[in-house]
Amino acid sequence: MSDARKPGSSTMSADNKQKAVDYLVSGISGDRAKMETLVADDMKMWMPQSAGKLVSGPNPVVGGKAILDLVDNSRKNLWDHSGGGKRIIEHVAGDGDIVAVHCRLVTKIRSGAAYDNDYVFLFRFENGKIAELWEFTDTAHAYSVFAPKS
Amino acid sequence: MSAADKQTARDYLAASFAGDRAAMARCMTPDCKVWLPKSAETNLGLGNPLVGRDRITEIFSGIAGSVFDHGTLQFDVTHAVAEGDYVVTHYRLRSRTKAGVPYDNTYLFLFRFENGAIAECWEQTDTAYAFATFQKEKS
Repeated sequence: MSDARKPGSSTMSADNKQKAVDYLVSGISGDRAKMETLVADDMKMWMPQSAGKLVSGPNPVVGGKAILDLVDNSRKNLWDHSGGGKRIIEHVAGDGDIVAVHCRLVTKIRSGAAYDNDYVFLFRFENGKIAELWEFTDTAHAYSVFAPKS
Repeated sequence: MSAADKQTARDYLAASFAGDRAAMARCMTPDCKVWLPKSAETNLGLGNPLVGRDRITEIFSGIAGSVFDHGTLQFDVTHAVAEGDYVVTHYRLRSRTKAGVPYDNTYLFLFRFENGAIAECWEQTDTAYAFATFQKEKS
């Protein structure tokens, strides 16, 4: 990353940008205690609509605890980060209460298959906490890894 | 600077939905790059990234009209983020496909600007929903 792309390079929303990156990195490491300091109690998370249908749950997911439970369950049941799975932060931009993070998730899924996909997350902050989160990724590519056609 | 770049990003999207190749080109550098989702590269057989204003405008100025019923197409910007050379545009696209199937999807575009023009663009959307909807026939 160039300096202009590093989280914290803008004084306007440096704090929010760092929190957004911390949230994403903690989701991989499983640092729930850290994530609990970042989310609002009534946080909303908007998944891609196709993902919302797959998990048969509400979309958006409402409530910081419910969202962190979902992150925990995904880490335990979908992902295998033990081989060095990581989020690679590509770009971070902040503007007022909104932060956008463009990143890659490079890891393995539980079946052992390699997974490498791009994501953009949009965060809205209220009083220093994450109040809303929108997740965007190439869902067709993701599902082709999770359920490859024979 | 940032406000102008936000408007240029919006103008680029509006021009692409209108199929206005000249207006799209005015928003981009000659050597602009567009990074597609991997599945779009696979499903559409396009290179990734797409390189060059002429090639990008040729491809994208025709897509909206070939996939959607043009008269039903509506896009609404939900959030626009600008910092330094970067703009992120979050928008909702509603339309009917050529087959008459309702389409309602959200997108995030990340733009990098050089001298007021789009030099790079990364596109993300719910591609599984998009491809499934495009393949549906009107029931």
